Amino acid sequence: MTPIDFAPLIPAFPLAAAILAALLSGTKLKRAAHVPAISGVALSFFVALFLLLKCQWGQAIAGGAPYVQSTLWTWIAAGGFKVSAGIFLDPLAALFVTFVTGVSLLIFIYSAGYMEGDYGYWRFFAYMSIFVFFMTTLVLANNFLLVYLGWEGVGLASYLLIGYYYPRPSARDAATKAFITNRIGDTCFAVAVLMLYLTFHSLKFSTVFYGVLANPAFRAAHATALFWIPLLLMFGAFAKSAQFPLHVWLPDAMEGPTPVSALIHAATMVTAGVYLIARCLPLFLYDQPVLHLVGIIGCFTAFLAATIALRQFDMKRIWAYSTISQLGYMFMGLGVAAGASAVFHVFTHAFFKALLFLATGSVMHAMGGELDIRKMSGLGKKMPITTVCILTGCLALAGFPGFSGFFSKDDILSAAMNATWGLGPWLAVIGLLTALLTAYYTFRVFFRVFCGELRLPATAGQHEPSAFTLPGPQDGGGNRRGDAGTRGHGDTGKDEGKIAAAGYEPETVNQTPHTTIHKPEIASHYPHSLDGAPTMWLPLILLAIGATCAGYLGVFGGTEGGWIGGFLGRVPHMQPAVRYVVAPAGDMYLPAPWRVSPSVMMLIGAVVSLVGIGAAAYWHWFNRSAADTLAGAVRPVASFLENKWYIDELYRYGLVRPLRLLGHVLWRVDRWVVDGVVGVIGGIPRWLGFSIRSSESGRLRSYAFGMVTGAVLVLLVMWYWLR
Amino acid sequence: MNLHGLLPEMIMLAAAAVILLNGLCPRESVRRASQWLALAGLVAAFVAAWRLAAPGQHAGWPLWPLATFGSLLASGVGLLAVLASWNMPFKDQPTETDSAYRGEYFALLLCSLAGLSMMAKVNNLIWLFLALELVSMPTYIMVAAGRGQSAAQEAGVKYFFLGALSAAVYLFGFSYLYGFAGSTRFSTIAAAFHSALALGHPPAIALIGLLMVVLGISYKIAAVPLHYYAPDVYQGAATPVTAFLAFTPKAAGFIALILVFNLTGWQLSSSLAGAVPALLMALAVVTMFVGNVLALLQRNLKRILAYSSIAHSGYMLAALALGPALSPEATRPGELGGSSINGLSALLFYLAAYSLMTLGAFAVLIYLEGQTGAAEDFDGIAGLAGEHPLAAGCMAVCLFSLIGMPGTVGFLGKLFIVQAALAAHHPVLAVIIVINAAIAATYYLRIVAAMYLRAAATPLTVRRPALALKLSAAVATFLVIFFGLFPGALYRQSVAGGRSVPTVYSAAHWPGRSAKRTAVGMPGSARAGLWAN
Repeated sequence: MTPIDFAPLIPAFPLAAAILAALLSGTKLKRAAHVPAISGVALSFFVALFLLLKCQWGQAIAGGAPYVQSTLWTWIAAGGFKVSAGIFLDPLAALFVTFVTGVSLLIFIYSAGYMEGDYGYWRFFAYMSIFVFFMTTLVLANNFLLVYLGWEGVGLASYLLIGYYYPRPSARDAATKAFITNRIGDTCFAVAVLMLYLTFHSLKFSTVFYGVLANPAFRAAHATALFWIPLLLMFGAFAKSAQFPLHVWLPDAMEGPTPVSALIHAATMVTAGVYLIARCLPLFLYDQPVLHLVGIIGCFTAFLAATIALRQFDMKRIWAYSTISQLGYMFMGLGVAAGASAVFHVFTHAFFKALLFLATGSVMHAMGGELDIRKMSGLGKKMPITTVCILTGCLALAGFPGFSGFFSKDDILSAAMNATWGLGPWLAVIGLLTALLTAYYTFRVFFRVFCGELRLPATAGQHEPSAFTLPGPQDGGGNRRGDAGTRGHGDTGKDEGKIAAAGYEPETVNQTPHTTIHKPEIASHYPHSLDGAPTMWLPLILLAIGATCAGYLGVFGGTEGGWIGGFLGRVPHMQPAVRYVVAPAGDMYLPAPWRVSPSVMMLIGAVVSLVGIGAAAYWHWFNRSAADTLAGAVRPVASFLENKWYIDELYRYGLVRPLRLLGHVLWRVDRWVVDGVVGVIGGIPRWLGFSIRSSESGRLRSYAFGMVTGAVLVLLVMWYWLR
Repeated sequence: MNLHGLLPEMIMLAAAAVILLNGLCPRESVRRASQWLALAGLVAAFVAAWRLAAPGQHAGWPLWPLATFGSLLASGVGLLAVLASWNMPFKDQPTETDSAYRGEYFALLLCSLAGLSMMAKVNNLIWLFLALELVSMPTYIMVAAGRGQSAAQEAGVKYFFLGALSAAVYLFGFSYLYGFAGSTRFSTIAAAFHSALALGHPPAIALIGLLMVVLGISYKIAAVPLHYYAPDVYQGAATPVTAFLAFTPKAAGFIALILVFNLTGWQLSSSLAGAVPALLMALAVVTMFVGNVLALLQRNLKRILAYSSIAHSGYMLAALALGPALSPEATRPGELGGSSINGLSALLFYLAAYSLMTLGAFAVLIYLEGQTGAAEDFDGIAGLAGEHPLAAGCMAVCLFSLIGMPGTVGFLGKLFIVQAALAAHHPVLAVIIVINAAIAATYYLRIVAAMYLRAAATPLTVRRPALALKLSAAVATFLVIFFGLFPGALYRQSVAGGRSVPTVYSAAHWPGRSAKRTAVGMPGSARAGLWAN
């Protein structure tokens, strides 16, 4: 057996785990649903790690070929259209699948502690496992249709998990919003897949990327299709990865449980768009306008989301906007053809963003569901482990020298600065400005929440009302049972009743930066600190180590781009040299001279980061009143940012309302005009039937007469014809 | 062709003889074995037909794929029909012993199936006539003897007299064809058509003969203008017999029509001869509409299914009228939109699909009615879903398939016909088929609605739910879904059968007097577009 023969196990284990967890639902073992889930993803991780090591040092990909693939079975065969389920393994897929399963493993372990006692515990793990199944399918697929299956599958898992607390209207609305927004992108992706088939007569990566594409005559013959395919793929990627203008769903997706936000909406699923474009980079490299558009929109989104994050107060929302912003960086990297740098940033971002979310989950756990940074302060003394971990994450996100985010972000900015594309340096400048904002808003959270004098919200250490459980008679005990018996409509409590009475209003979902009401946990169980159970802080520490060290993989172990650069460089279009020249007509691997050397960019990046952190320290640690004064002084700007550039409002008045009105009008038309016409048309067959019904009299002689008459009539017609 | 090729028919007829004798046994326990013997005979016939259908068998005989398709259909669907008539004939007098005429019934059933199985293996008008009547004669008796009610006898008499009339019509047509060619051998007639078409157009006598054959056989397939008998006979006969009638004579009639048109080499495209396919298409359209609009007005389920049977004959006639022309795209594999199925393949696929879905629907009715015949109208099946969810499910699946819902074999059947129509540049015909499918949905859905949305008026009781009845409904339903999702096997057989025409008649295949007057059909590349344009 060659290493690739083990690859199908990677999706198979989580799938089996999901089925097993779902089967446990009806049994007494449903409290143990985390056991199959964690084992499944752990096994997947080990297989993935094995494959990665084999790709690097073994002979998984033989003889310097860019990829290796295997066919498992024929999936669809309809006439000449044939699609197989198969594995495509190259350094990009190996790296992706390894960090996806690795981060998943840590988050699963964390979830076992975090979700403990929740109603629907098994459901959570079944969904999470199915997510890992689809995500690994997406990454390992060897053709576009299988990628599309995984793509839709992770969308489904995301939808189910955002709406996990479905008794809450806000969760339902957020799930719907995510689903509908993604639908736009998915449609574009689907059309792109169709066009790919029509252009290449195959959906296999090996055929599309390593076949006729290199032939200039073929490209000239299919110029139109080769322009549209990347554009449509780009929209697909933008919806999944929450890029402007389809970014609106991600902040609301924080309605899901925090591990979901960490895994799906920060570390893995949202990077599927980056993966897609990185995978399809050969197509994009021959379609410069679209590639540039990817870079421009990525850069703009990075800036937009960073500015919004400046004036948010809900911790999870801040991290959500930060995720959008960081994804923007990745697309900016892809836009300047620096595929390896973009994937490097995906890799480091997975660690530090998962870390930030999980640490935030711990805070939420301890604060009874409160996440408003204005209501808490000085938690550092109460939650030492969490604080150290979150500090690591913040340093990495802020691009503090030596931490992972510093190296990967710098890699992208340096690539943009040195791109031969004239706009590249300008993107780099905006990227640096965004980095400044990033450092500022990141440490705004840290200094506000973990530094200064101790101030806890009123809910700290309490249970918050769970979406699924009635408040128990004594705090906690009742909730821990959180079982089938307590599920019901009584669980909605007073607030829920009010919301329900107010009616179903999907648009209002962004209006209230709503804290996620969460599963109860008693702080008093851990009297010494609020850090939570070991299953919760242990993954935090491991992620913190990853967030600190992952960056060095991109520095050491290779000439340019470190080990990651060298490893990914075995994929032709991911070679570091590609970044300097964006696909001229002929050779796309031509190196170009440095404009600003990487070491200088690193220095600038370090200064920017330190300035941002310093500013945050002044306004949010030493002199907090000054920050409020400043915000008051620029009130219009502040409220513009607080309202997220009014984009949701724009959508509501520009799209949702008109569509609703149109729907109403069309409904009326359908009801009165169409139904009327249909009624008339529908009556015709009946009337026809009545008019010839008398021919069926039941008498033998009339039947014989009818038959003979009919036959004679036919013969007469024939006779006239022949004459 | 040697006798080995007739193995399925010989097995069936031998089984029929054994069953007939077995039915004479005074001991009832022995007579009860009749069904089992019939089942065993059909299984053996099916295996024989399957082996004969293997590639390479009788490769020299061009119509062989069509012949084996007929044998497979006869023995395969026949198995389901035997399961569905497990308790036949129904006793009406309590004093009567349970299985007095059981031997006769199953022997007749097997004879009829043997006729169907033999249909595409004949090479002579006389044999064609004998095969057709071998299919029909037993059914006349089965209708009358299937149950003791006077309605059944009335239906039997009507069916017999009108059947005799229709036989006279197509026999008259045969005589004209004989007069035209001077022989009853297919090869000679085909040669005569070929030389006449080469000169210009065939004489009127040939065309009128052809048309009278079509008219006469339209009785077997229950198509306009000889469709009148269908509702009365279907309603009057015992339901298992109705199920059998909906399948066997229809399949035999369509195969016979293919054989008859095959004599012309499918070359009737000149201004005069073109009248035949044009009339065929017109009859198809009228048949569809008559069947569907009259079905709208019915309240009796068997009458609804009878009219639906007429309508489905219309779809299949349309497929026949499209002929064997392949769309030019079919030769380019992998091209989206290219249909690799011609009208005749679509017809054969539809025939098998229709047999399965209509048998499934009737099997549920048989299962429900037990002895009383109570489940014959909407009230009889109201609320079925609550009382017998599985029976209602089977019924619903078969009805959805009759409508043509995707995922069922009925969908693919309609799809192939529509594809063939579009490929042959008859978009209007395709639209008419789709409109008719929409009209038909009304009455099928009305049945589904009665089962699922209405409450039961009286508790439905099933008196003797024999396992075989459940099995026939379940197997038919399973096959409807199975072939709807994995049509491969059925599709291959249908395409092979449909592509075996137009036959290249030559002396090597048809030894005998006609050796000198060998007709050569069109070479394969020139098949397209010459029929019915």
